[in-house]
Amino acid sequence: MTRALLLLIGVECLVGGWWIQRHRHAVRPPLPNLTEVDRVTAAEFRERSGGARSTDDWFKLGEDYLATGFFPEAEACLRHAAGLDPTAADIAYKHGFALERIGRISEANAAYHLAADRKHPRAKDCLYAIGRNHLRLEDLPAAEAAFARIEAMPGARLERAILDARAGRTAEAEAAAKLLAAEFPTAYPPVALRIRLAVARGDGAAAATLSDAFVRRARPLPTPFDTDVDWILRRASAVGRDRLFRDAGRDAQAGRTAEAEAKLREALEARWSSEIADRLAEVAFVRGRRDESRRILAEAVERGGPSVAALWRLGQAEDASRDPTEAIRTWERAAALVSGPEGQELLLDLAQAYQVRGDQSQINHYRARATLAAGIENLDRGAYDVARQSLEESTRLDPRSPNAWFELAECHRLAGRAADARAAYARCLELDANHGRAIRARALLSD
Amino acid sequence: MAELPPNPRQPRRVQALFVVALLIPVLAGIAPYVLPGTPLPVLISPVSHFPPTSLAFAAQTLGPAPGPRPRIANVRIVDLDRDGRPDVLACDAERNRVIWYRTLPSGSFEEIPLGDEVSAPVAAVPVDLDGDGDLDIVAAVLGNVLPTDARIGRVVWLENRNGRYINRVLLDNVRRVSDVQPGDFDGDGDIDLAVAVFGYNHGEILWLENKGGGQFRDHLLLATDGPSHVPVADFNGDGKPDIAALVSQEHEEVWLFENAGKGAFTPRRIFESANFDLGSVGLVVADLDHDAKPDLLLVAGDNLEVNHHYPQPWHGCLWLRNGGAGAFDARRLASVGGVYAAAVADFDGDGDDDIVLACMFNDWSRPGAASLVLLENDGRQNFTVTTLADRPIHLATVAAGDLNDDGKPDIVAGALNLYSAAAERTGRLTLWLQTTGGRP
Repeated sequence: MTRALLLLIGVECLVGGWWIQRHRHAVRPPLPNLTEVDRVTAAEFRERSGGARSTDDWFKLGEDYLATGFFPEAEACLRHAAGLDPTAADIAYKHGFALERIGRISEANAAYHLAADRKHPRAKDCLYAIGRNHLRLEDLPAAEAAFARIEAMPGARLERAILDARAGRTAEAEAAAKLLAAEFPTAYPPVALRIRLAVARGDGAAAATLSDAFVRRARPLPTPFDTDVDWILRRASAVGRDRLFRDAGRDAQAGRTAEAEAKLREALEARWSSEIADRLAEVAFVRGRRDESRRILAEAVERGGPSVAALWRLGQAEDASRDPTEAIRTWERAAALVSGPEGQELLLDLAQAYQVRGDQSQINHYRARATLAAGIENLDRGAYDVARQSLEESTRLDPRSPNAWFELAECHRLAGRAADARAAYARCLELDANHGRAIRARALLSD
Repeated sequence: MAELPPNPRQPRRVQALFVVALLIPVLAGIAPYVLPGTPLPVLISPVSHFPPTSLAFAAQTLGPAPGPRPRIANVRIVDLDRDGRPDVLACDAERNRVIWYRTLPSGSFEEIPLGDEVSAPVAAVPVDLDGDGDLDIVAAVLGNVLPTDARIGRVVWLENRNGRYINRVLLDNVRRVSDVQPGDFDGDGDIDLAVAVFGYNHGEILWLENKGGGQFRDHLLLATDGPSHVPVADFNGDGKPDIAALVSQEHEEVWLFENAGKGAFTPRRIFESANFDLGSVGLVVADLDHDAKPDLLLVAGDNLEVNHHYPQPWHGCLWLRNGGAGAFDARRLASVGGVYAAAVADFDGDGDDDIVLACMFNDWSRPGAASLVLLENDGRQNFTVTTLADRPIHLATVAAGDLNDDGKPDIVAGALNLYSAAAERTGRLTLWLQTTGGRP
């Protein structure tokens, strides 16, 4: 029995020794420098970096490093995952994406080629990325060749038009940009190219017309990069402290305020930020702890700076704490900072606060500003009918505001009401003869 | 023969061996979870670490200690009160103030906020806008340092009335304004303004014609996304101030608006890069080769393409050399990660201009990544790249000048933290007073 056990122990030592030696030299995921990362996220990464075993473990850790900005570590994990499973197209794609983030452009392209060869479902997007990478390397012929292979893709078409313009093929560039602008009526990049072409040929009138169109087109052209950004942001919100913040928001929306508060406190304790403090103050307010909400917001203003949003909420907390004088003071401080479409609700709160005091002049002043802000927002969204109502109200409340008359004139012009537009521009310029935007816009009206 | 009695120790020995035989596989089983293993090597940025400079500087904090995320968007050295002592003018986008750090006779500084709060000021230029003999301030107001296309930008004049600064809005309801620079563009003797409206998806380059009495008329030079800086100088030597404009947001161009007189400009693109990811983020006028023609330094280091940054090999400093008559040729001076700003001075006192670069988006996760870099000129515009400081980090703006009247150029830099950093690497405003290397 003793001999048998000794023999067994001998075999175990040999096998065990080999096993331990193997794992001593086993590759482990790199751990980023976590000294400046909040402790919730740091703890999560420490745990996960110790446990990566399978290809999937390495891949998912690489994706999470990518989403949280640890690009070299992401590239290392994805590189290892690609080595473990060289046939996996998505690993190759993400590895290419990670290489791109750290500026290893040629290697990124090799990875994208691999992904495309492996029949990645986004094989055309790989070609787009390859083309863009050639632009990063300023290799224009290679970029042109890559984009030519995906000639139907809008992003590729725009890039080819830009390359045409750069090469002096201005007629081709103009034609391609014009077609893209027609197919994507809300996209501004083709118009930005057309403006440059017009300036280059000295056509000031065309440049002016195109400049007006440029402003009205709100969106970029769709590109494959949008998909990448979406998954990165989604992934980032599922990691560490950001996950707590996301889940707290979901709890709050579902009415689970206690759970929301617990998560927000944990997130805030991990690392203070004014955004989390603001959300915590909102939850505290909803739960009836208005004084505490006020305290949190006052701290947010002190530590994070007097932003419009923080000041507005602080004023609301002060108002709810039956301190309307302080609320007005805080709101007026915020109102001095807002411009354009910003702060509509803040301005209405001020108008309401003065309503209680019966100060008609201030009521009109803040309502005029609030309706102007609303009008600008809707004008910029292309909602001209809604904008019109707000802007007409604004000019009624403050008939001496040249900006309000200008925005109303723009609203009329863009809605096709030329006569109304001319009248509003005229009123604007009576009040401010130097309103350059009004002068330029009026010139765009056909006689 | 009598039988030997059984060995009383034998059963215990067997038990012990049995236990050992059980333990060995258990220990081997947990080994993978406790042994350190070999960390996978990571690729390191090649543009983040440089040898230390041979010049000596003593760093000190200017103003209050930083909060969790200080946001100084712009610094400038200027003798605002014309008392013979250069001061520091700073745009604080966290406190929403333009702040004057006035140099006292003792050499210390007094913090004086100017005017009322403005939402995220990012440029403040001292200029006598109303011609009354004192220096006013004109500020570019972004409205928000975070990306937005909303029309929340402004140009604000802080009018100096006997030392008290009064806010007057010269332009509003435009997209985020990132720069404003003075110049008499129409040659009528008063100061006009060049304006960069960066926005986000939409922007424009304007000039504001001074009509007197605080009234300005805006003129459009170019509608485009991404104009960030509009430095003014007589680039073509015809005696009239021209406007250069840096346009990023994937365009990566520099435009020159040559002043044709009486408010007319001829636009021309003098630089463009096919690399849409160049990350151009600063444009500075400097006659680097001392040929009496103003050149331009372009710095590139922006890289927030997704939600986090990383230094790219093409980041750094380019020299757009003015060859005369508005012709420029581009030459890369240095590759440095995450550069956001540059300033020029003869730091080593050898008669040529050196350059200091401030880094906002370098590889901060690795110790020793440079936040302040010195490019030392050999006299022929060849530059040696050295690290002047590796903290504080996230430096977005830098200025150079002799702050303590010892004949040696000093440096002031401001940090703009989009993310938090460790306390020992977080700064707000930092001075580097040169202690060696200059000659009176």
